[in-house]
Amino acid sequence: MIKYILERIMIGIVTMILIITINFFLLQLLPGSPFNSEKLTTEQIEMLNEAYGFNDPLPVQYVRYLSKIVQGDFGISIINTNIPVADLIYGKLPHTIKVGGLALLIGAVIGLFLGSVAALNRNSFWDYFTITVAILGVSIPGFVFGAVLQLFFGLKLDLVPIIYKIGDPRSFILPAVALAYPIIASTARYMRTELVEIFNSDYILLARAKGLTRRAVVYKHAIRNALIPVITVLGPATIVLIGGSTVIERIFGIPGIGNLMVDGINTRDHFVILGCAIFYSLLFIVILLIIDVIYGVIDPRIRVSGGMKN
Amino acid sequence: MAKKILQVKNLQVSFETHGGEVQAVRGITFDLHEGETLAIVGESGSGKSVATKALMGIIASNGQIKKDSSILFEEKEITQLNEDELQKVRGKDIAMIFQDPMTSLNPVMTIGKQIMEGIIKHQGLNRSEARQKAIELIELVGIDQPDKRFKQYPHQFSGGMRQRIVIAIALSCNPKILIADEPTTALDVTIQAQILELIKDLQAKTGVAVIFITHDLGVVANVADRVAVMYAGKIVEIGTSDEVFYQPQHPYTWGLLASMPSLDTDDEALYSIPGSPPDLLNPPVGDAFALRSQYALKIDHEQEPPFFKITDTHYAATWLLHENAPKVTPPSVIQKLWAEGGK
Repeated sequence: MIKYILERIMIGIVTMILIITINFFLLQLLPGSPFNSEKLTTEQIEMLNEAYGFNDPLPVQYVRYLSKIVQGDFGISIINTNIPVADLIYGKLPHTIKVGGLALLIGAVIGLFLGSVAALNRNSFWDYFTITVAILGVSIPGFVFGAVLQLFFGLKLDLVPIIYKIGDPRSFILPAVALAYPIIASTARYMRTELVEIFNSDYILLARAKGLTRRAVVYKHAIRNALIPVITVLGPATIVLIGGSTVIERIFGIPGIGNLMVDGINTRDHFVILGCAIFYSLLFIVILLIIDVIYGVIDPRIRVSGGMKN
Repeated sequence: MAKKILQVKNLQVSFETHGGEVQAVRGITFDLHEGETLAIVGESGSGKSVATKALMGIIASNGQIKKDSSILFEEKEITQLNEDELQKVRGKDIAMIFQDPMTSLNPVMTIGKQIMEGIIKHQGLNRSEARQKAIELIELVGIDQPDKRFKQYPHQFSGGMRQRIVIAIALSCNPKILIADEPTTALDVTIQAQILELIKDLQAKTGVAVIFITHDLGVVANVADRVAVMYAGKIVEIGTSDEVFYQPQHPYTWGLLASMPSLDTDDEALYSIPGSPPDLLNPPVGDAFALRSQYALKIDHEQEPPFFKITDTHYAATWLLHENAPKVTPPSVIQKLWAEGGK
C-alpha cells in the first residue's frame, strides 16, 4: 500500500510539471497584457515589461518560473500591487474551502440518501422524485440554479442572505446548495443504479436465504458494496466544484479562489492565473489519491492486489 | 418409507412483467421425505429454480405465489407466513446453495463473518461461540487452515472452495432441507465431482433432505433417490431414480435421456429435442410438450393430461399412458434403457 501511494505521488508530480508547462505556454496565446491601461504610455509599458521580465525569451521565462516554484515562490500579482500569489491564494482559501466543503458534504449525503431511498422503493414517489432531481441537476447550469435560489429563498421568501457575508454562516447556505446540486444529482443517480444492480446479485439472495432481516441485508451487504463504485463520482464531483466555484463565487460575491482566477483572467494577471491553475490541479490530484486510498480501505480486493499483506 | 417433511401442492408462481403475467410455475405437486435426495431436472426456463425459491419465499419482488398453492413444511404452511416468520425458516430449516459460487458471496465481507451471520441469527450463540462454530464448519467442508481462512475474503478462494464455503453457510444451522440449485454447473468437472461427494457425505452425516436442481442427468444419476422432470412450469414425470432412468414414460423424458451423450453410442449423431420451450406468457393448452413431440396425440393439443400411475412411486403426465392410447414405439435409445431396466 505504501509503495502504491509513493508511486501515485511520483505520477502526481510528473502530472503537475506537465500542467504547469502547458498552462505557462497556453497563457502566452492569451491576447492582451496586464498593462492595458489607457493611462500608460508606450515607454511606461515597455519599462514595466522589462521590469517584470516579460521581454526575455520564453524559454528563459519558463525556466525562471519553474525554478521559483521549486522554491515555493509562485510569483507576484501584477494588478494587486505586487502581493505574492501564494499569499493571495492563502487568503482566499478559507472562503472557497468553507463553501466547497459544505457543498461536497451536502451533495454526498443527500445524493447517497436519495439514491438509496429510490433504489429501496422502486417506482414509488421517491424514486420518480429522485430521477427528476437528477435530470434537472445535470441539465440546469449552475448560474441559473444559483440565481433561482437567490430569487426565491433570498428575495421572495427572505429566508437567507442573497450575498455571501464573511462571518455570517447563514449566507453560506445558498452558494453551497447551488454548488452541491449537480453533485446531488450525479451521486443519487449513481447510487440508485448501483443498489438496484446489487439487489439483483447472488450474494444478496444468499444473504436473504440465510434468514437475515431486510435491514441487515441492506446495511451489511448492499450499501457497502454500492459505495465502492459511487466513491468514483467524488472525483468528477471535485471538478464540478472547481468549475462551479468560478461561477457561483461570482454570483454570490464570495471572495474565493474562483473569483480570484476570474479576476486574474480578466486583467491578464499572469502569475495569478497560473497560481490558481496549479492550486486547482494539485487539489484534484490529492483528492484522486485520497479516493484511491479509500477504495483500498473499503474494498479488500484492491487492498490485497495493491501489495498490502493481511 | 421415511416421514414426509415437505408437501408441495399445486404450487403456482407468476411474474408480473411489462409483457403481462409470466406463469413460471403452473401447479406442481411433490413430497419430500426425511433424508432423501430429490432431483428436479428440466431445461432452462422450466421453472425449477423459481419453484424452489418459492419454498423459501425468496422469489423476485415482481413474483407472486398464487392463491391455491400450498407448501406444507412440518405442519407450517409456508405460503401463509409473513416476512418475519419466513426469516425464521430461511437458513434455519431450509437452506440453499446457489449456482455460481463466484458471485454468491459478498466480496467485501470476510468468509468467517458471512458464515457467522446465520449462526448468530438462528442459534443465539454469542460472537466467540459463533466464531468457533464457523471455524469447525470451514474444516467440515474440507478446507485446510480454517483459522487463517476464517479471516480471508472471497477473492482469496477458488471457485470450488467458495462453493464449499456456501455449503458451510447452508449447513451452519443444521437445516432439515437443503436446496441445491445447480451447485456444480459453474464448476469444472473435477471440482464438480468433489462438490457432489461433499454434499453426499454431509447428507449422510446430518441426514438433511436435499432438493437437487440440475439439468445434468449424469449428476442426477449420481446423487438422486427420486427424480422429478419439469417442463414449462409443470412436473411431467416423477419417480425413483431407477424408474425415471430405466422406464421413462413421458416423451419429454425420452427426449432428455436420448439427448444425453454416452460413450457406447457411436452409431449416430447426438439427438436433440426439436423446437424450443413454449412462451409462458401464453402457455399452450393441453400438454405443453405436444408441440415438440413426434408422439403427440390429438388430445394432447386439447386437454391437459392428468398423472397416470405406473407404480406407487412412479407417475407421468402423458396421454400415452391412457388405456385407449395407441401403442407407440419410443426411440431406440429408450427401448434399450427399458430392456436394461428389465421391462
